[in-house]
Amino acid sequence: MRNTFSRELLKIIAEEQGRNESRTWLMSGDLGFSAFEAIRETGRFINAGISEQNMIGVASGMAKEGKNVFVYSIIPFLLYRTFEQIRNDVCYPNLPVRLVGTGAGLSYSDAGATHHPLEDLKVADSLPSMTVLSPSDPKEVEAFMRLLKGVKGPIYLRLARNGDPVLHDRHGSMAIGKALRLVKGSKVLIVSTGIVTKTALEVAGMLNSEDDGIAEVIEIHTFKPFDSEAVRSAAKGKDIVATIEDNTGALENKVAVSIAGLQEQKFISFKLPDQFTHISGTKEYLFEAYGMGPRDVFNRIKGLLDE
Amino acid sequence: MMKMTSLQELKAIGTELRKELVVKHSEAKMAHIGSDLSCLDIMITLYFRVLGKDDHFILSKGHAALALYAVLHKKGIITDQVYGTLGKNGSMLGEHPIYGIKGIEAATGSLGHGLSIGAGIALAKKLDGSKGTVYVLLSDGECQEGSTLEAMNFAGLHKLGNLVAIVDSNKFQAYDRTLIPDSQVQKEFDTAGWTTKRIPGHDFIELESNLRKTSAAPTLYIADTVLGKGVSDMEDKLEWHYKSPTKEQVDEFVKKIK
Repeated sequence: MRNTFSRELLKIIAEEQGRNESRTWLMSGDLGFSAFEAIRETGRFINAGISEQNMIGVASGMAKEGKNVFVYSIIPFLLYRTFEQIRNDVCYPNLPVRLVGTGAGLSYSDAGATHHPLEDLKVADSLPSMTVLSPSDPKEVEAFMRLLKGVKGPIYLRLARNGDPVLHDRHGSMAIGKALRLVKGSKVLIVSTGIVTKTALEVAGMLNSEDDGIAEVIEIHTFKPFDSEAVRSAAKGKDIVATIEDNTGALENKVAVSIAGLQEQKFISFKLPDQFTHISGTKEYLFEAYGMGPRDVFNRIKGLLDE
Repeated sequence: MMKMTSLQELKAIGTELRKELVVKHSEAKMAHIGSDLSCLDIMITLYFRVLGKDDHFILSKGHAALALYAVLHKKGIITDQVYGTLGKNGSMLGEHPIYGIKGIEAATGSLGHGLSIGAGIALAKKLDGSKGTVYVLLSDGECQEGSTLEAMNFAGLHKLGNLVAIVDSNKFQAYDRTLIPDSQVQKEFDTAGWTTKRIPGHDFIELESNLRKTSAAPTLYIADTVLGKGVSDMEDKLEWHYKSPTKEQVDEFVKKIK
């Protein structure tokens, strides 16, 4: 996802430079080795140094002067270290600062708990005027980079890492704020966000190979504003609603509220535990360890179906 | 061309706004009058003698918002109608600057934000080759914030000559004499590549002649000020960071303001 972001941003900058404009800048908290070199060469890159709070304040000031600033760091440093600067200096004045964080969920699986933003969706969602984007694959990042110029206020775009697979072919119909139905089905609704949409699709495939057309997948690529209406209407008439996320219940809460009052469904969530990760390994290994591997998710949904 | 405000007029504005602030703080029962009065003359100088149409001002020590409102009102930027609501239910005017009021650049109720925002504005101007100087008013205590020091380093590194920071050095923070002395602050800014200078913070002539100057590097002025300046009962007393004058005190204090 990071390389896609870099490539698409480079295109935006090159287009501007062709028109002799200098609105768009990338500011990084001393990160981007082997990702941003081409952007550096355009002269539109600022290394803000290891001082993230100042980086957000500077981005706020630049945005006040009409600049379109992308601010980049690893998510905990980008979003947690700087929370008050984001709140007071970006969200309160509703400035178009684009916060681009890398390492969503367990993407930096072997880097330790300091690098695991397992609550970033909750944190970003808590800020008024913030748009929160949680893409599932690199093509969605590409689509967002075209769509975000339509958003007047701040954006938080959470990226996984690199080498994330392309999951679907519906990118052309993406709109910020609209949930995306990836698979249509009759009995089981799986709602996903971020890269674990891959798991949702795999599980839906397994369910549908046993009983064709029962599993539906809705992907929440825009976490805020949350498309409650799409979730609620998809949930109507289903036997089971399941959520899957790489956070500690952010999606679970949103979906539960969205379907409140619809009483016919069983509800099950697949999320990360509300604790710090004490084990290291690949992200696949960690998801398995937390009972979020495709086979575990399938078995638990299947169990509910068979009850 | 707007007529320049004379020295005599500046002094008269200082006296008028001091009296007004005593009344307003009392009526609104809002704190921080001591901080208002220590930086009032700096803001009067900026708004009536220094700031041009391309310049920016950020009150980073947002707890002195009432002084800023008073100056903006005197300048006609905040209307009588809005100013008249201060301290009343439903007013837009908070005890700290509220975003969305004309003339207020940033909501700086939390210390350590203003210098970064100012640096961002200054950087954008520098990148575009646009005119204008960005003035940021800091409290001396605020220089303890790590984010202020981050902004200091950033502005020094990027040689933001269009950025001027003024420290309202009233030698107090909320619950103590200022813990980190301004001499240390000045050294830190010096080391970070700023042009630094100590200036008297209640002398309109000195303030104006210095604040008009910029250099190739960002500039820091340590302005020596007095907490509660102009109201003898308040001067250099920590309690006036918190208290607002009682009804009985208002007349007495107003009478003493010269």
